Amino acid sequence: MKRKKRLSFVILMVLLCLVISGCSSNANGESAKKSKADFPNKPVTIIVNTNPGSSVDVMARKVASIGEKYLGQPIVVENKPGGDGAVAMGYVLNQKNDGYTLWAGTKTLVGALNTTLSHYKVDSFQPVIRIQDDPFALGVSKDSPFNNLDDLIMFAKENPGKVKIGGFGSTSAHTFAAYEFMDKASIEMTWIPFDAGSDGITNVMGGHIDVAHSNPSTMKQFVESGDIKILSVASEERLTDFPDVGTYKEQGIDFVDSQWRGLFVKGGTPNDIVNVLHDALKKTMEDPEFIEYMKTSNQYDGYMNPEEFQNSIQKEYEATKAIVEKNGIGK
Amino acid sequence: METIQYLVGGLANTFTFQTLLYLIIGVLVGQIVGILPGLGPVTGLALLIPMTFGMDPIPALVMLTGVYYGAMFGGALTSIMFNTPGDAAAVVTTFDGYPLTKQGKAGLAIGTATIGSTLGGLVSAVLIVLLAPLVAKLALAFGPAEYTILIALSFLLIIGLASKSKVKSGISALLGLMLALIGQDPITGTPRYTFGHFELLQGIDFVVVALGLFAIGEIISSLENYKEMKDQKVGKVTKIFPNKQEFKQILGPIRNGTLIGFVVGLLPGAGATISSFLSYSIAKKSSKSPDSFGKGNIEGVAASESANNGSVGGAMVPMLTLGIPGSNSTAVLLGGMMILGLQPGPMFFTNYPEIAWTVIVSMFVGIIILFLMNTLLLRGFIQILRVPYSILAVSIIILAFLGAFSVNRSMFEVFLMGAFGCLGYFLKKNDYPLAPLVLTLVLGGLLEQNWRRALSISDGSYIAFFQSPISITLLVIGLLVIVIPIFKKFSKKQSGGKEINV
Repeated sequence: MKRKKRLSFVILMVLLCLVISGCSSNANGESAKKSKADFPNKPVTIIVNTNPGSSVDVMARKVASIGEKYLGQPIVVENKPGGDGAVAMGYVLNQKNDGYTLWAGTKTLVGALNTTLSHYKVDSFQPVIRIQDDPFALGVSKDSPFNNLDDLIMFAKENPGKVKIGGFGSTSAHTFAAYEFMDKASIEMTWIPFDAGSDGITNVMGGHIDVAHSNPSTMKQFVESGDIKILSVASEERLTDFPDVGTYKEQGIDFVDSQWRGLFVKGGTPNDIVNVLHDALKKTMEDPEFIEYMKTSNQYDGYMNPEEFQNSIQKEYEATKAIVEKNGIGK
Repeated sequence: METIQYLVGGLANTFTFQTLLYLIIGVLVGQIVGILPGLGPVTGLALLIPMTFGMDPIPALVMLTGVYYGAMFGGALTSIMFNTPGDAAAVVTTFDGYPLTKQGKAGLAIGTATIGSTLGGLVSAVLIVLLAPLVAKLALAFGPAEYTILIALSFLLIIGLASKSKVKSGISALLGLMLALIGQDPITGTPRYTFGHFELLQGIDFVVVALGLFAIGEIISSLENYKEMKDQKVGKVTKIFPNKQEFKQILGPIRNGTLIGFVVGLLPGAGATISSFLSYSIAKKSSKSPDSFGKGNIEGVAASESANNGSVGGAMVPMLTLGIPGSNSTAVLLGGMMILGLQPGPMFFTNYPEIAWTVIVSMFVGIIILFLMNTLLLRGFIQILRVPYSILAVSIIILAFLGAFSVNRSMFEVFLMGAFGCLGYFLKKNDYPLAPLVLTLVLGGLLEQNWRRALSISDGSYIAFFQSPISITLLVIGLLVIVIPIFKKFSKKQSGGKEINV
């Protein structure tokens, strides 16, 4: 009997603890709202939706190691791969909107919101800072008859669907960018999706497809070794690394697009917390060590403050939406 | 001359205290993740990459590469002892490894696997040194059409392997293909068979299926004959290394396996998996006693292990010389190199000769360390089999749960694994071979993607598959694989009038 009594007492205490802790999490939520002034007072986590080693993971780790001294708290990087980023995004959205959980996102977000993750909205995430800007570019084999964008467009106009253009994914930022380019140039090419952007380049080098949709940073080595020619880059101005390569704009196509990478928090995070994060991260971007990393990894400065970032995502979202609907991608 | 100079330099770099220390850490971690079911080289690399942050590139890269081949080495152990393959490449090792354990010859099986792995690894490292610049371009020659045919050929071989019923192994293969369909359509992105679950969008991970089918399925079926299991004795492990005659017997499979591993490893995709299946079926075909394959023949173990370790060297070639990852593991490794500020690619050997050659030399040293480690610890490992099965089974289940959970860090995969455990039991009970299911699941997606890519490149014309010398060669091999057995049966009928089962 004594034992039973003791057991029920233990159960009672456990339940009591559960009830109390249930209440306390509520109280915490409130106090977090009140005490924005001392943000951050504990380590901040950056969630990455890929395995370690991807471009976005490398960026997050650099931000974490350099940003700690500007934020005044340790920054931890956690990888949550899976579901085209859905696992990581879902995780971030299940945290409190207190600014302690950041998500290292890329332009893939915009495509995902239009296809696989259409149950989320643009404002599910609050942009904090845009860090990198990796413009899209078209590459062809050194033996290709195409030497500039005009050659390609001329040929594609005469032979609709004949040109095979390949790159990463079937609903990726690359896919949408390729379709947008075709739209603007009023040409028709066949999109060949690959599992990795580098597969597009090898298939161009092996003569299996005609054009690779990639980024200058990825193609740089192949240009140096003489295997690949770049036809055009989707930046506003010519890149310093490739002074001879014209932009789409100067070759007559009004197309500027890039694979950007930046940091987000959950939507609804108070503004002053977003600003604290933004200011610390901006200083991180200006740190000589970070600038050096950007240079060695062939990345371009894509800085935008939260407001500019939000506006540009909204614009891209609408543009992608139009393309998805027009071409029936992911449906 | 220059190469020799670089090799000597690489040797000197490897034998500095720091590099050697990290090399040992790397191979040890690799071995451990290889042994743990469900955790493969990708997990090991993901675990160690954050540690390399801020390290010198040489020791860091040496360590990461060590994880990769260490895991291939370790994968054999659980396949042999518990029928639990750690990754797709180790599935083939279970075919003959586990029956050997059941016969009380676990020691010999592991010893053979160790020799196969060591020779496979060493020879493929030599091949990198000799052939890297020459064969790098071979990876480029493989376009979507060539891949399609290669994968189809490996399906053909694996179905042909079935000694009992080709129909049953065909059913098993189709089941795997069906599972491979689940997820996003690789070309248009349309979700298929996901029933609105975003957990299924990425498809079903191979690890979940393999753990379910092999580990859980095996445990469920062992419950049936629990009494026997209880009385089963491990037997004294007197013999680890094969004797002279057995060594001669496995030398052929190892030689073939290593070459197949290296060549297939060069091709981006599922190099290690395809090569171990190919090597196994070739070993079976060229063996003097093909009937004993699948019942505990050390040739099968040697063929599989030499091929999957041989593929490591092959996969390193396109990664180092072209910046193209040949497998998931090399993709993660590539990412690790980028974190270190290195850009692998056509300029890698020119820009960083010291690092590139040190990594290659460290592979030799690392493989020898693994060999010594395995021979020393082997007796210890085998003692695990003395643990009562009731405890062992539960431990395997716990490890399998961990492995399945670690795929996406969600319980969904764990439940899925349970379901596959039941399926595995049912299939085993009814004599359906599991290997075709696993192979088609792993490669089904690749087959479909490349088939459709090839057809969209050729605007829907099937001529795409007959255009290059590589495709034609592979097709001819496929044709021979089909025709020769028919011809053999036919000639047997002529001479002996033997019955033919169709």
